[in-house]
Amino acid sequence: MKISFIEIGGCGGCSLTFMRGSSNLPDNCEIVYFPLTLDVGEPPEETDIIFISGSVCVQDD
Amino acid sequence: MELIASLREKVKTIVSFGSCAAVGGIMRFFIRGGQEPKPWQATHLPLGQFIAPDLSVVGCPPSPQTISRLISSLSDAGKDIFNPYKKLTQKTRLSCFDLLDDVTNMQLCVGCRICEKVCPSLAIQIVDKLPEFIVERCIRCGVCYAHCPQLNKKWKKEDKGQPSLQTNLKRAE
Ligand code: SF4
Ligand code: SF4
Repeated sequence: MKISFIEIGGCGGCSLTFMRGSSNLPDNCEIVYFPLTLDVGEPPEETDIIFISGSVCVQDD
Repeated sequence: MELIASLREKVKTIVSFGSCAAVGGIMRFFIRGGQEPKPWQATHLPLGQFIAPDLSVVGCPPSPQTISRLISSLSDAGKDIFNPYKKLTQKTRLSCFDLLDDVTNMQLCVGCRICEKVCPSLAIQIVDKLPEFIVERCIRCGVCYAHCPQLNKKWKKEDKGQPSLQTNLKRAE
């Protein structure tokens, strides 16, 4: 099972706690982290479940 | 945001994770000193205003136990065990006000003190067996709401005996 974790904002606490909570993954799971705040490219489209953390900032500048 | 919207079309299960994604969290509310943001201040919005998440996990941040429980149950995704998380997607303000509206004002509170114990910012005190809220301290994390056993009982009844979030959390421990 492919799991993606996308961080679109917030304080970063969700990512840390997610890493901690997912440290003992079942064998069939693979997790990919995408902190969009760091501009690391596009998350994979082939994923079974996406966790999204952070609020959506709609400020123009 | 276009990227997330395009993923919504392609990915079966999207989880709004943490209170910022679920309701806007500290970015939306706390910086206003507990007040509702004015329209021109509302620059941080919950995910649910742009796409429809399937599940919502609240907490600032959510506990590692909740995460490991969720991940180890993922093969059950879409099944009834996730009903409480689905219900939380319908809430867009999650705070002590929701607990007031849905529990205390509905005469459901039994004064169990769980909300007081789980509140990360000590914004709840039980006085005369009822929660009193220090609104200025509330960071709108929704944890008190998600953990209230009375609310979970109500959901359980609505879901005709399906496991509640309380049960899920206990199993995760
Ligand atoms: S957790 Fe629910 S039932 Fe218990 S004191 Fe708080 S509001 Fe009342
Ligand atoms: S009262 Fe406490 S637990 Fe409830 S939403 Fe506010 S900060 Fe979170």
